[in-house]
Amino acid sequence: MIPLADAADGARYGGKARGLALALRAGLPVPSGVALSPEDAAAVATRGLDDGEIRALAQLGVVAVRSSAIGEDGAAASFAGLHATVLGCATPDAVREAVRRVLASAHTKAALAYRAKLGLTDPPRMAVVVQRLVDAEISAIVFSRDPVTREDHLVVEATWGLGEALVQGLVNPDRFLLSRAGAPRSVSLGDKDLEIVRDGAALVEREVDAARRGARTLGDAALLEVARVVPAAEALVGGPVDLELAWRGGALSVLQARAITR
Amino acid sequence: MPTTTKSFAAPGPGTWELETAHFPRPASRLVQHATLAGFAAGFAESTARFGVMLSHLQPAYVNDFAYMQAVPFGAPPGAKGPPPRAVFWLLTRAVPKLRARVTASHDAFERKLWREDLNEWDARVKPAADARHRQMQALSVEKLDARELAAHLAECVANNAAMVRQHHRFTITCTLPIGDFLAQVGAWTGRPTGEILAAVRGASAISLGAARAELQALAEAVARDPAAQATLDGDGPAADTLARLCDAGGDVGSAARAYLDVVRHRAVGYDVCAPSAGELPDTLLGAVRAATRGAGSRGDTDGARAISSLRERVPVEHRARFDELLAEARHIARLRDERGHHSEGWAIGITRRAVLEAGRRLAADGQLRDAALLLDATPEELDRFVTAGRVSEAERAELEARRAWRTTKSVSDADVPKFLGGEPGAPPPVDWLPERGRRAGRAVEAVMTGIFQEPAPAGAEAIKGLAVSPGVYEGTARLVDREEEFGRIAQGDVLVTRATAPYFNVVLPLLGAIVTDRGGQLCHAAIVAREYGIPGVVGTIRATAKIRDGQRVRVDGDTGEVTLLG
Repeated sequence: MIPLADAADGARYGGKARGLALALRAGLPVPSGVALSPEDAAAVATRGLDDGEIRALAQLGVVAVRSSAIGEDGAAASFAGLHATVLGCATPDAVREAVRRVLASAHTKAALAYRAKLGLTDPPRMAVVVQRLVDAEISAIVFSRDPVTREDHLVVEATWGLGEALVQGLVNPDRFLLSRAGAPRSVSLGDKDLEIVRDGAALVEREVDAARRGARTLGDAALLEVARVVPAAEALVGGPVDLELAWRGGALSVLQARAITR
Repeated sequence: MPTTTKSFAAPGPGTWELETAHFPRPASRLVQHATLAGFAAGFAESTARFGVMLSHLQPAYVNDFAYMQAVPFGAPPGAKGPPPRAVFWLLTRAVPKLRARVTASHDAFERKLWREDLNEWDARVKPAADARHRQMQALSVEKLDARELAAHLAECVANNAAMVRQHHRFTITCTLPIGDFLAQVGAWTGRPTGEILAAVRGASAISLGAARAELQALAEAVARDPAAQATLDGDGPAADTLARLCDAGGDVGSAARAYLDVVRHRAVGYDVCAPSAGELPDTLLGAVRAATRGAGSRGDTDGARAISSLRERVPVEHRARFDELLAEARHIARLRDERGHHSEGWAIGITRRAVLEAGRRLAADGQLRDAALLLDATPEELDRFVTAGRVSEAERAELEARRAWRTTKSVSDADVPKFLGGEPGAPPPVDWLPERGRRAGRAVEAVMTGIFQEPAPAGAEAIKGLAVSPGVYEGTARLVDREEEFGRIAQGDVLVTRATAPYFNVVLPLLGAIVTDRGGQLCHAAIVAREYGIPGVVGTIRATAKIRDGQRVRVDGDTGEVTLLG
């Protein structure tokens, strides 16, 4: 287990860890965390965390355990949502269980079907990232190139609570098209009728009250902030970027930065 | 939202209706130019040939939105509705040019004139257009100097207009037999338009259908060649996989090159701003993979089922006539898509390539922020910018403003009027026409109310969502909520669900399209639809409530509309 900032070796710690490590080094606001190689992760899954690991994790508080697959970056595929992310782990046992789930997610029927479609025949190798969980009040996904029209503007979708609701498509989010300088070209407010939030160690899906459902999530200042993060993130991945962002108390965190597949 | 408000004034006397079927957004200046130059002329030639009492639809652009006016043959400009019945009766029986028109319509049915037109299309028009487009795309635009590039652009502009005209010269050819079938079968059975049309169309992916023969040849070549099959199923970016197929020896290489040659510069949408098929390698690769798996064969079964259930409803004494009308409608049906694909569909893609090349040069010289801005120039501006090699500050701002307007406004915006100059009056009832003209009158009426004015057949209900993956697809809706229900999904089905979960990846290779109640452009469902190159519409809110399991639907991944058919 090593600090996330040192996990830029993608062959050992996977694509997600690499992206986050580089982002940390570039000064982007990435929540602190650690990375586990597939071997570290297998050890944690079988024997549990050792004392050093428990101490390291205690520094982070409640954490998110995320998959970081190795050797699939070149596949130009998103693995959108296939590999598990376990949010809200508060104890060493919970982390161990989450690592098991993340490792197992590489072998689900859906993941194997997707690998077959991509022609990936080698057994999947999965590293793991453990990060401080950001209890997001607002979450957003940003594409720095329009994935449909391929136009050169930023597409931002945002909702209340944790980003899982966006990624899984559980809400109709707010949608912003921004010039690269961050000026809104279009704003379309969604109907964010539910949000995912953390309640202790559990994530709960709860109804959003009437006043907030249709209210705008990101103001012009937050959108400008998004536009400022994009060039730095693009420089890291070497092209158009797909970002996951979270805000708590007005402070922005970058949860993921990767090259756009589609 | 753009803060500019623009006023919409009628572009001339008479009533004008917003065109929503093909241009859900403002049109580029280039496409406006081609439409204004070629649309009405081609349409009028077509109606004259078939003796249709409608002369043509007259297009006009207001704030870049297309509006159409129906112009009856022989009517004064801007006329709102027909003259009184007695006057109409007299005109159509006494005025020589109107009488001649009625006679022409009668003769067209007697001669099955559409068959002659289809022969002409196949033997002369289509091959000539294909040859012209192949010749134009064989030009290496990047090697042209500024003067040559300007000349090529001028040629593109002229060709676009000629191709729009060519397209509409065959509009009545392909719609009259179908309208005739609709009108007569509708009268016999009372069934909705969508159900009757299903018998004509069958079911298959419409998008990229232009190159069906080339795609089929490639699929067959791949099926005979295990190495090519492995390449096709392999890993890596779609563009590389396509390149490897093209580089393969033997039948596969030549079939792959032939296929890409015809689709590379084919516009996927109706405007020069939409990407060409060659810019969407994933979609192309998806089409090749689907073809090798024999996807779409199910469509024919669906078509056969639609025909037999419709035929059952036709009174026995009309069944022989039903078979005859159906044969004519099916015979001509392919022309409906072909006339666009082999006309402006190709012309516009070739134009796009040239404009983007010019845009790249201007962007490299710091004249434009990005190459694609030039897609919003008028033909005159293009010529000037390319020849002079510069774009002024004011011109740049204007291009930016046009693009912002075009990409953010939509026909569904509340401030875009559906009609200008009032709502149109009803056309004269068909039975005012002389007996010999009524069959054509009914056919045109069925088409105008059933197909033309709406993207969907009359009576069909459209559900609107966010378009996340381009292409148009018709198929059987499958409402699936849980993994255990996957067994019910058959090849070519349209998945309709609240939100997709990761385990949907198992069934994705089977699907023809995806529709969800929820989600944005960046959610899983949207991403995988794009990866698999199938049309996708998300965030419809009510698709699972409105669509019945097993119902036929059309999913338009360009406009975000899901239409219930029958």
